[in-house]
Amino acid sequence: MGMSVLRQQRSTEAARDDARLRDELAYGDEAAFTDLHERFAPLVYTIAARITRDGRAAEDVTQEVFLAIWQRPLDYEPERGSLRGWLAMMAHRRAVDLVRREEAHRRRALDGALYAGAVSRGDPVGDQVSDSDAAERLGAALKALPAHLSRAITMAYLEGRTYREVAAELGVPEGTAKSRMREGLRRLGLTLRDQR
Amino acid sequence: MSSMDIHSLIAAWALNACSPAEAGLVEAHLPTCPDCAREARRLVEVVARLSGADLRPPAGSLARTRSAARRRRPPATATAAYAASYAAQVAALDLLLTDLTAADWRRIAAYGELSVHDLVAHLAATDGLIAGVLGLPVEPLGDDPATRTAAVLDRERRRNPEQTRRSWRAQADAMCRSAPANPPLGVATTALGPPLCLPDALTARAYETWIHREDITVATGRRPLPPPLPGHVRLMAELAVRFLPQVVSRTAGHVRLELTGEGGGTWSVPLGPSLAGVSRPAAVVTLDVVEFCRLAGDRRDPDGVAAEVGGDTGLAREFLAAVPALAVVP
Repeated sequence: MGMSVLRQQRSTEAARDDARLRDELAYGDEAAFTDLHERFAPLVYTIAARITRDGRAAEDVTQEVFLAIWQRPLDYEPERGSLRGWLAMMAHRRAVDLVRREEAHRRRALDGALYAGAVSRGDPVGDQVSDSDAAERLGAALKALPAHLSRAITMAYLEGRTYREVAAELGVPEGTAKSRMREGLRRLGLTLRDQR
Repeated sequence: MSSMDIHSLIAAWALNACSPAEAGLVEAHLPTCPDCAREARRLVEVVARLSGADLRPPAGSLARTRSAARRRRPPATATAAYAASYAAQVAALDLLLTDLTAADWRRIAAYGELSVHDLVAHLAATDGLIAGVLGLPVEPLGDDPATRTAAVLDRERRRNPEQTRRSWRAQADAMCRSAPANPPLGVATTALGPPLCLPDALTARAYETWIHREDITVATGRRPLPPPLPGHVRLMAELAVRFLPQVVSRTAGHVRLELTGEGGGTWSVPLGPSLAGVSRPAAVVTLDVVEFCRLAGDRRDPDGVAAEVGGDTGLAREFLAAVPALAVVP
């Protein structure tokens, strides 16, 4: 027996809880929605704040993530993975989309010499998510990685770059950018598992 | 794109770092490939832990999100405990209906002739019989499901589907709000067929709302919503089981019905006037509780349903064959 069996049991129970919560949302259970928000709003908001570095934007992203699962509960498929993992991915996806849109907007504005007005972002989240803090936080997880792996992951995760952009910026083939992300995440997974 | 190429994309996908088209390819591939699915699950979990979860959204964020949620999709209406299964089925059907296109509303969904639009009118018509019991004003009148359905269909066919959906939902919500915390004892209505107390009548409405939601799901090719929650499916199964002695009649003996899965249970169904002195069941029938409810709602073929039978297998088969004749769910 041992840890792996216990972990297996725990993950089966957790999967059942996730499926139940999803089903209650499908049945319009507002108490389940409150429960969902209480459990996962810190996770979703933290991700949104790290990526957008903007309090107002992070709150908007957080709200949209929860409204989306309330309106389309079937989008989360429990057999594919945990609710936590799925919500984190949705939060990151929306935050990254926002950052990319803003980036595109800024480039257009620069082209049109409208620089001054367009670059101002909304309310900063304040010192709790300053760049250095975010970098430090991620840094703790990424420190163990060789620089070329942590760089690829940081560019994708924090800066919202696609693997093609990462490849172009680092001057490496696209396949190399993809495999650095994969190898980086694989090693992070081992580190995180040991920390559990 | 080959499966190897897709596999090489999974980490970038987990980091939201591929194009939308590539993300679509990965997501379509995952259900077909256990190895990639396992890798995706693992990497998504790693990415989920990169930021931590130590910041809190600003005060009032839950309240603001909840009121936005209510505006986008009304929750199940708060009601008495015995009516909660009905409120839940109404909220789930409404979720499906709000997603339908004009063409979907015209599709034939039940009884070979009722469109989705007609079916929602039919649900509203039959609900109206219970709305009347709860003291709500009901128009047009009619004392049984068929008469009321004819009258309501006549009116709703002159309305658009959105108006029909709204009036069905408004009546259902009013019923939930009017259900007294302590239901009156005794028979509340005979309009649905057998004499029913108020909690049973609402369970019967929940049951039919679910069965027709599945009809509409199939007719419109939508992804199915989950079957009723375990506590609710149990109420429906119990209601159906109570009417079983009326569909299979013998002079004596009983069938043990073992309904499996969450919300299931075991029942002794008497086949004759008396259970006295008979301890061993004449037959044992075992099947999934949700499948049993679909069978009792006449949505499964008794010969095709996955059931195990024991004891007098002839009797067990006869028993199963008679289940769809249940009158409580029209």
